[in-house]
Amino acid sequence: MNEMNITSAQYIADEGTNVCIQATIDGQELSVPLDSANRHYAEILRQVEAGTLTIQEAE
Amino acid sequence: MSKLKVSAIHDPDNDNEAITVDTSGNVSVSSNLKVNTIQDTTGNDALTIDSSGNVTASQGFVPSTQLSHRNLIINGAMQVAQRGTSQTTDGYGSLDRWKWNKVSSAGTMSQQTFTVGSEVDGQKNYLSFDITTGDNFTGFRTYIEGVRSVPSNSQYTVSFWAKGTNPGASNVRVRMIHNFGSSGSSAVEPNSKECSLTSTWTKYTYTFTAPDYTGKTISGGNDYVALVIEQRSTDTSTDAWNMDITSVQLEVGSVATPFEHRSYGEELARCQRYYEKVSLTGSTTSYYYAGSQNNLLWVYGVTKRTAPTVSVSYTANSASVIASRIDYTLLQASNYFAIGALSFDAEL
Repeated sequence: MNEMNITSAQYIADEGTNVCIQATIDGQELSVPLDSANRHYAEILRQVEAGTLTIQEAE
Repeated sequence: MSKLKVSAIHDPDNDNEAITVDTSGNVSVSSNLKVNTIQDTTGNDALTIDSSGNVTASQGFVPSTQLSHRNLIINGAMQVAQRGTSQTTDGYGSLDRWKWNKVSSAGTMSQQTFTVGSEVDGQKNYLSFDITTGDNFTGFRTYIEGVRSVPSNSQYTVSFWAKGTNPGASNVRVRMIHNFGSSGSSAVEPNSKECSLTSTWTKYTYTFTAPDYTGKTISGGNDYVALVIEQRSTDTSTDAWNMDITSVQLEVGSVATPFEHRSYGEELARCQRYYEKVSLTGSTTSYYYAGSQNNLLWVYGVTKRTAPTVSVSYTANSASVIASRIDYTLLQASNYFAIGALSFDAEL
């Protein structure tokens, strides 16, 4: 069972470089830094690894 | 001058040994020793005891255990609730640093205030964990940053005051987890303890032994020691149960010392390393205007444990978080935007 309900995830880029992920987690819009010590980012990576989540490319 | 050689002095009534002297010269007193001054070997007063029992050390006092900063638990007095005073959902939602693992249970976790004059252990607040539908593993937990905060192989003691009713099929479980990080060695759990709650506020004390960290890999930047209080894994009862708890302390050593009280301000600052919330509603400074590009650099009150997850509530337009660091967040937009509230989450 997933610890967090992540319904969307998309990279945010600044000058062509991904800087964070805009995600909807447990119904909340959150900006998640690309830092493995961050619990939300760690969970996003875990769900991507498990094949249950895809991170959309930045617009 | 002559010598008196004696190995024991007996009391006159029962003929029991009152004072004994062993062959090394060590003196043992079987009962009370009444004294008002203890001198050092040069004849100077080292300790004096007045008639009220107050003890004064004439020179330095060197304790073998630390006098302050003993308690590794943050918000053990349940004072700080930045997110709100009550939650019915999983995760963090009310008292800072205390996380509900809801599983399939139902109920409410909340901060409560003692009636004036009925405080327990000198506390103003307590955590109320009120489960209306039980489930195994439902419980609350708190994380201590850094697994090495509790030294390898050391004894440590958890104490708290609590009252309540027990889950349907067993007692409440007090469980410790030593986690070495998301890319570190597998977590290790010392043997858990059982806590049998009663309807009367009672102080509970449990001593654990930390695992041997030799050969472990600590990696990921998110290692911790967790204190978990929960319905047992083998107890699948859905019966209601509740637990009120305060004065939670975890300290190195095999003895539970009195709870280490800290001010609200000090506790808030400690909590803000992991979560900080700012409300700007009603403030004209919440609007940010410029030309084609608007930047807002928000410096936190307290440096965070790690780069935090940022949540922003906008009252006009919106911006993008283009940097989240341990000491600031940078927002950027191509139009003006207005902020109602921000929160920064660096919890474990």
